[in-house]
Amino acid sequence: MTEISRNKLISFGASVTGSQHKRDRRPNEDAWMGGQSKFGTFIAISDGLGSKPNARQGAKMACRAVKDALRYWGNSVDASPTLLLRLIHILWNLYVLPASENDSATTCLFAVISSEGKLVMAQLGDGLVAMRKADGTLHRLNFERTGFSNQTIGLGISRSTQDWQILTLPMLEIGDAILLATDGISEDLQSDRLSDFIAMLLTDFASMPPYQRWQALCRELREFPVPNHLDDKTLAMLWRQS
Amino acid sequence: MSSKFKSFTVPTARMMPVIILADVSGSMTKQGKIAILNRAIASMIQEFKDDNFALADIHVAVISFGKGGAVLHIPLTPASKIQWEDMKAEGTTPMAAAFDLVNQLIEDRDTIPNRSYYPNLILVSDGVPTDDKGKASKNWKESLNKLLTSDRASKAVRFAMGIGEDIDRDVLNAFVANQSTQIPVFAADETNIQRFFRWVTFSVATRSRSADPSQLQQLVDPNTLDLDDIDF
Repeated sequence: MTEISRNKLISFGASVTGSQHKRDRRPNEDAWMGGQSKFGTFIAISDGLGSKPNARQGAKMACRAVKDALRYWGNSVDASPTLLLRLIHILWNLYVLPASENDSATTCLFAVISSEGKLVMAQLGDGLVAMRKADGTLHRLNFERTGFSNQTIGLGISRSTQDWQILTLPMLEIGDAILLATDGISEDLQSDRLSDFIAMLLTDFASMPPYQRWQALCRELREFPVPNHLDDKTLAMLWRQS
Repeated sequence: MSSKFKSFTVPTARMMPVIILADVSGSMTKQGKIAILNRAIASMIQEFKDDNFALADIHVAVISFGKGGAVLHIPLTPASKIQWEDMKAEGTTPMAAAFDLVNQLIEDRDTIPNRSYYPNLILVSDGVPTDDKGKASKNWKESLNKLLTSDRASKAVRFAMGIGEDIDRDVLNAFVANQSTQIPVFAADETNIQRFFRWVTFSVATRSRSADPSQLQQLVDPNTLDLDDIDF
């Protein structure tokens, strides 16, 4: 559980182990992180590829790599978002050692607001990155899956920053909100209700005390209302409070 | 307590498609092969209907190829809702058209959403592929190549059964080649067509009940397995 409030930027998130991993007595292979520093504020989520032996650590290190990359990138005036992505790859490669990159493969989705107010949303692999403007309009990164369930790319697989989807905007305005979700959630959301879903998260959860909110979110994710849902489930939100 | 997420999520389990490509050329009338094939497919669908343990929602489609080309005999439908109607055997063996049709079906994201598990493709044939005039043809090669290199259809798990002595081994072997788990062609005569479908049913049911239905299980050779002892 984490809450950050800086310049009225608020973030929170939750992650639960899916029934598949519970049955197999394996840990949650999703991870999330939210953080702030003088260089900016971010949220990140990752989904370790289930077939990989070091997936859990790979996912955790992806969030850490985003956090640490932001420290260097945010300190450099006019550094491009592509440099941020390259930093994430390099740091993640280091952090998963001595395990191999391939054994640690993971998706990586994040949103960063630099100290100058520049917003970067980025996605490598499946899942959901979406921003709802205060007026209800939606901006979504469209990561097109080519195959079927549980087939994706990610850190440890991709060799080019061109595999990322990325969107930069000047700033997050009051009432705007960003949602990140792993495919355990995003694949089962009705796409035409996404804006309303984000609005519901704001109205029903954002105002709760942090611990109570985390508990309530975890309960919703554990009791996910889709028959036979199996995957680990993680979401994170970042919004600018009025 | 009711879920706050309920009105924003889809109400169905993830789909596992099972698509049968059935040769219904005139030669399938010999030795009662078409009758046995009809019975075997109906029995497989019934097994899926009765399977209370499946985590995935099994949908079945049947593409028949014979007189008039390749036809969607049953569109992709939840197994529980299928009322089986027997196929008739007549005409030639336009297998290329069947490959084109299944490719079209799998690439249609409205019919098979991305959240689905890998499709299962089951090819059944007793003869040599022909062109639309009934002449033996290699036109299946181009169509199969398209199927095996397309974005989505290339991810399917492929099974094949050849019935009798007149089968085209090249096409059946090419159909099952290059999969993550080696799946041999099942060689059948008119008496053991049902064994193959029992084996496929077992394979699909196992995967649909698995903690991770997207992972292909290690399969045993259907030519050597005693399928009469398998419990569903």
